[in-house]
Amino acid sequence: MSAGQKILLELQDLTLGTPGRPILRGVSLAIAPGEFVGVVGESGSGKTMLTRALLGLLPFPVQLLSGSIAFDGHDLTDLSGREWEKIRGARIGMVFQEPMSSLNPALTIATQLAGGLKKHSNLTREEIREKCLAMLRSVGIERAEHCLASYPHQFSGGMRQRIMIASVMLLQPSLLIADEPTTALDTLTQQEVLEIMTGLTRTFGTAVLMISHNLGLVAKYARRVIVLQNGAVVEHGGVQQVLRAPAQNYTRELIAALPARAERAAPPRTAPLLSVRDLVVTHPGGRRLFGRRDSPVNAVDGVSFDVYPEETVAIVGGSGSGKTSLGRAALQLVKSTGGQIRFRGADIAAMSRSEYHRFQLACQMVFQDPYSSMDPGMTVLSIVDEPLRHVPNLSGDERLRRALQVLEEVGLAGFEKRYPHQLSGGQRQRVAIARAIVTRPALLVADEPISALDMTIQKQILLLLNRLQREHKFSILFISHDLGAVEQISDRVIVMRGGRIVEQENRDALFDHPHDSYTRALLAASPHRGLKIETDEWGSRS
Amino acid sequence: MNRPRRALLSPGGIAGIILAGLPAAVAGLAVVWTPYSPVAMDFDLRFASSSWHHWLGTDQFGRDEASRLMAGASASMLVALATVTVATFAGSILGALAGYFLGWLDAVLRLVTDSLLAFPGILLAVAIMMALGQTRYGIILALGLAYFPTVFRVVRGHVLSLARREFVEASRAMGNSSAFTIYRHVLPNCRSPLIVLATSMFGWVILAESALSFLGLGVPPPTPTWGNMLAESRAYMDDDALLSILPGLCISAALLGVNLLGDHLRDRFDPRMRDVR
Repeated sequence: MSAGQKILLELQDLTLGTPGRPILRGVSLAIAPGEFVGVVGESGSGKTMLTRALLGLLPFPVQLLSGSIAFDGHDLTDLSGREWEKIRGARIGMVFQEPMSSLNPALTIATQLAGGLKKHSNLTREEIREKCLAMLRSVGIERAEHCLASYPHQFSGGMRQRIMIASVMLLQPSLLIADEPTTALDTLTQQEVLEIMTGLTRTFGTAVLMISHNLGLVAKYARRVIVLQNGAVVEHGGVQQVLRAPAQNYTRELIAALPARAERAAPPRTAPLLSVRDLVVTHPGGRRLFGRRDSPVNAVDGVSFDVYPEETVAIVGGSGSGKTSLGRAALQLVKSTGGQIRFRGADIAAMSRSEYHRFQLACQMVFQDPYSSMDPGMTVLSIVDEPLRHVPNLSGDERLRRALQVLEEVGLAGFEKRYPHQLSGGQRQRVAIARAIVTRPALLVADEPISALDMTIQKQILLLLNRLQREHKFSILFISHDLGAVEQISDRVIVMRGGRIVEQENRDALFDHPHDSYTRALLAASPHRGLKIETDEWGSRS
Repeated sequence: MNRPRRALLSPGGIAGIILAGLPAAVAGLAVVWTPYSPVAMDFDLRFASSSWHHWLGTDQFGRDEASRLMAGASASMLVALATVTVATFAGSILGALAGYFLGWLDAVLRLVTDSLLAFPGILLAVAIMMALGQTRYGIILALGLAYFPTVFRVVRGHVLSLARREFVEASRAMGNSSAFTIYRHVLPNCRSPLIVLATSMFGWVILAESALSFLGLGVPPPTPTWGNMLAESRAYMDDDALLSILPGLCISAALLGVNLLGDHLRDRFDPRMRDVR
């Protein structure tokens, strides 16, 4: 920033936390009007507290300890509640992470959009309505009148986030704070929402402070980036400068966590482990008032593919593409309504009870949400031990030894007496992986196993899966919307849309020469593409 | 994450154990020994005030109040404990089945419990008592039937949300049967609401039993329970208020104790609460 340029927001040596336990330590930053600044940090780095401080919404025991926040020439550190109310919304707007819970489910969109204008302006009802309609159209909602009369549950996550942006931008704030605005969305929707957000803020000259754990995403949109670690700014500068010449180890680690293609040894081509032919999964239609049902929907509609031993097959698609139903149906967690699944050549529909039992034992699953995939009342050891009760002829001693050995393999030796709530997200996902591989399965179905984790943790989990796969020689069916992760870990990629396969190709061929337009759109929307950064493929760790 | 371990007993827990444990101990003692027979009448000693022989005085028939309170403790506690057990077991097993399997089983069970809930609990118990005849076991069955739909509702709702959690799906993914999944993963996670509900229910049952006794449908006299002692003494409130106050105090103290104990148990059994200070 050149001297003499106007500064919209300036933090100086901001320290906050509970006395004796600071969460942010000496954070300084400045934002010019209309500037787009990214803040990169992982869970626990204090980025969320930073946004709350800028809105005067620090949760109870946390308080400002020292430093100053200057906004448009005013000091924000000792405003009264009344004065804050004039700033929040009108001057500083906020878009939250979770579109599913940031809109009030009991109020119509019209009521929620109009609320801010009613408070901060003297417009008439008709003027407010006109403004709301215009704003909804500019966030790309075509049936704006219909939208105003609807309730939040009638919209998808991406649409809700658009509505959220519309409601914030209606007041034309000078500063927009976006806290992980697209983390809960799939790649294509993520790009659409961010394009709309950047477009609108450029039109209104609104400055943006975007907070994310994803360096690639921030780098794509921001001009300047601030890297936050343990509550302190460790790196600060232009995006290109930070990416090309990071000054700090931590930044290098973040850059190394950006997805990059890794060499993979070609798996031996033998008979397929799992073959799926013309699989159909039907969801019954939702029940309407008085028992009428909507017509059933085919979530998976005639899908065929093979998984070979020691191979990683990725299934890619947006929300609603049927990829999750496909993974569940492959293990018969949801019943398929048509088609055939063969495991090691045998049709699972024709299996005897004991054969089916062996099939179940040979196929294990890693779930998406490490916070809900484990029984909160069980210790890590009993969680990992549980699948072993289905392994025949295993003594108690052997079970214990096997469970402890697997915990060590996933890097959690000594954690066996902990409960899930005492672990971080990455540690929990390691427990989930340990539970899945303890029976020495031949196939692991991993449903979005890393999408709830921070970037550096994502990398670690992918490395772990990769290493375990090399050691234990299982196949992975890797379900994800994140093409970056897929590019790192897969041998073959299946792209799904609307329950059907649109493209099925070896990884390198698919990423280098995509044929289908949907695949191309997905690739274009991935933030890691187009960031050409030189790193060794798997970082330095293994 | 090396937080200091929480003390084994919170002050609330200690108070709960004392307040609930004392009547329980007295109830146990009363089964084998009371100072006098709780039903022996002595018309020369009606409404005696407390003395060396009769610690808490005597009632309108000259029966020893202390012995009656002791015997009442065992009768009331037995009815309450048995009823809560019946209601909790029936309610939680049926609730877990309904919430886990849904479908026609859920529809039928909901219809039954909703119909039961449509009657006021006492009215239902009165009707069942009429049908069964006035015995101690009749009361237990009647009150158990009246209170199990509440347990059913709570457990079913809780299981509905649990069954959608991924760890239940994970249990199925590793090949566990439905029965094992319900027993190992679903029911243990219903423990917190169940403990809270069961302890409050303990209180409702003692009160409901008094109400039934008041209507002459409770444990048949002359067997004393806290409820029917309270009911009988009503007519003599002006002569000897202590006859009403004492069983009332016993009921209140026991209820307070059981509820404190319930909160304490819930905190102890829920690993997520253990680190919260």
